[in-house]
Amino acid sequence: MITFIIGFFTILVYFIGLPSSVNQASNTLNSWATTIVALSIGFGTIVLVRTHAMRVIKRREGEWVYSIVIIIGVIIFPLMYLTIGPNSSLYKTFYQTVNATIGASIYGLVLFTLVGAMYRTFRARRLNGLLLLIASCIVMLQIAPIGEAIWSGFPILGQWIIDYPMVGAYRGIMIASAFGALAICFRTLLGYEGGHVSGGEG
Amino acid sequence: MNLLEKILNIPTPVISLVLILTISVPMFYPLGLPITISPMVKATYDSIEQLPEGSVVLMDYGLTPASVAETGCGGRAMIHHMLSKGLKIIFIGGGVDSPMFVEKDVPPIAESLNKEYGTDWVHLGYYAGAETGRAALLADLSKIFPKDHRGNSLQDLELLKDINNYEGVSLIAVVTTGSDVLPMWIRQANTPYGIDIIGSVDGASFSIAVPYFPTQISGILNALRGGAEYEALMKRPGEAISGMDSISLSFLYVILLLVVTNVALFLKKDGGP
Repeated sequence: MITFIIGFFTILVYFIGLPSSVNQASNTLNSWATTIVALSIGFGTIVLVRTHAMRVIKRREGEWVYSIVIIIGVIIFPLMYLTIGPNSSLYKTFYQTVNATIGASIYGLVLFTLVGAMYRTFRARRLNGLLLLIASCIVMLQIAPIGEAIWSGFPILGQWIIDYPMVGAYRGIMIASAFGALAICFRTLLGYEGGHVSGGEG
Repeated sequence: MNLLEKILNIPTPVISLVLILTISVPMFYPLGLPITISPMVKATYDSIEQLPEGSVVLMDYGLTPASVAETGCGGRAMIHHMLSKGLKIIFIGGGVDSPMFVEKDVPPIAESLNKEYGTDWVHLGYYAGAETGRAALLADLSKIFPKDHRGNSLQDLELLKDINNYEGVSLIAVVTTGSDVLPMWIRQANTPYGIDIIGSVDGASFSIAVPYFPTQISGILNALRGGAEYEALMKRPGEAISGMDSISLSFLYVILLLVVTNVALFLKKDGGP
């Protein structure tokens, strides 16, 4: 019932022009939602620490050492945030040298995995696979300036692939999935989908 | 093992080593290939260029350590363009890493252009709640951000004296790697309030964003290539342009690898030479 009332109220405010006092009520509901999400991040952190603390206590083989690293990270950053503040040079240096460096390194490593995976799996065994291979090579040559240096037609051909086959297919997928989302939305509002309140049982 | 089988079974360390070379060699010996400007990047540039001086831009600076190489250059080029044109920017971030990147990237650009915090740009920090958060902050900034990221009250900031919701915002600029972020802004800002949206996105999110161009999204920068085109448009060569030679050689290497292995596979199926 709560889902139904709040859901329909929010939909009405979005689609229909209503008096400002009603809009104000809807805005208040939205700001409550951000508070709830912020709280859920806090709960998530507690669950994360609890799960990894249990691994450390039980000395789970091959995992507990990594769990210590996670717990230290989860404790140190909020502690520094609360004590010296996010604008202090120490906090910024710590973030840039630890978190930012690790994040960028992991992302860089993905490139090597991707290229290795492409080499092993991107093998055209049928016609549709061959078409996909040709299209992806043309788009790569459209993005890389060397494509234009090789042949001036690559950028035009690549842009055509993006503008017509890709956009056309994506728009179709997006419209179809929007209808699906609409159906799920109405089922949720009418109480046929209860996963959000009953832990997965409809 | 014959030649065809060797081609089909190149060890991963060899593939990675050649990839490292194709990325690193152009950094020392640049090719200097020309970059043509795509319509989407030109449209992004024009969206900023057509705004009158003093207009306010809301910038969702959603950089993460992983995405900064792809979308950061485009984001920084847009910030430089906006501030040099006399536009005012309100920075917000839907990702927990965003505030760190705003504080790292914006002050050097602002200082180089003699732009002051509080008057020309403000940083409101992180907001939670994804789509609901965006709807809420467009309706009432002070409800989501009682203070800015530096601890100042919003009433004390010159830029926010007359702005507390979407009404004072002329453009929304989004720097993100989240494929759902631009559609969220479209639903909450473009559709109900008609605010123009531009974005600098990563390669994966680009495919999701393109179907909305040019109606709901006024301009898109496609990852590093988009950033390079933007730098070329502004005649301010930077990290993106210098990175394009590495992109060129590494992409060419990947294409060669794919072509050679597929030809080898085809010949092997036919019995081979």
